[in-house]
Amino acid sequence: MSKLKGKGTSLLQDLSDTYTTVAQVLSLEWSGMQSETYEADTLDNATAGIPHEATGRTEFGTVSGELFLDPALAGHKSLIELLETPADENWQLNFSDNTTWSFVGAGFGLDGPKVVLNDGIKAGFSIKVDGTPTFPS
Amino acid sequence: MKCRLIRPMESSRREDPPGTIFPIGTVIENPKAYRLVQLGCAEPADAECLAAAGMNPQKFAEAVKAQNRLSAGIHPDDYAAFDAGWMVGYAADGDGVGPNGEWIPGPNYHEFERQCEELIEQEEEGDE
Repeated sequence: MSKLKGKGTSLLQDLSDTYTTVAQVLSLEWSGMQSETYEADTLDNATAGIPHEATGRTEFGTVSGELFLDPALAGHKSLIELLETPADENWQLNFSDNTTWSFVGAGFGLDGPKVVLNDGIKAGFSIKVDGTPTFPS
Repeated sequence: MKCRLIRPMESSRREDPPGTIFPIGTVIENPKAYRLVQLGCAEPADAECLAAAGMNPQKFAEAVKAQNRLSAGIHPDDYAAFDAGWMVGYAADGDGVGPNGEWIPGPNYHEFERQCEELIEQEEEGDE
């Protein structure tokens, strides 16, 4: 049991048959993982508590983050290409202890560039997770 | 087009078992092989890739240097420290050195310590 450091975490993109680290990433967040449920209450339920049941489906959410955007950087050009030619893309989230979560991204979003006087040029990005990721056993 | 890897890289091909590593020297044939050259991961293996990459030797050297940082998982805040050889990565479990106790010391870590000591001395002289 250990608390992992954030620094050393990396996001890798499928580029030309290899996994390549996305450069200049400042932060990462995987949100919205949720198994789907439905309200399973019936008229003959005598208790106040509302029962729920699993549907057997799980939403695996979105991986998002922020990076220092360099439009001339080959890796960042590859991200923009995902907007020009949308396609499923393989990704890996590599933690600082080298544990890896692999997933397929069905959609990609870019929120930027954000240009201010007192900071580097940044952009937010998001990857819609497709299907079921691969977690280490 | 083809490129030749100059560092080990993990395969993303579905036909390869997860965790398959292409060793240095592996030739990758792919329409976007030039991107690996531009990222400092490979060198061109044919004229088409060389032309598509469009890099002179200096730019290629810079790309290799940048990829060394990326491969070590270096955060942008620590790029300068990595380039200066003060640190080579991040220590697990907080057993590191450096300003936040998280660095693995690099070959020039002693230079970082020397500069810190000079700063402390200057501050103390300023207080007097």
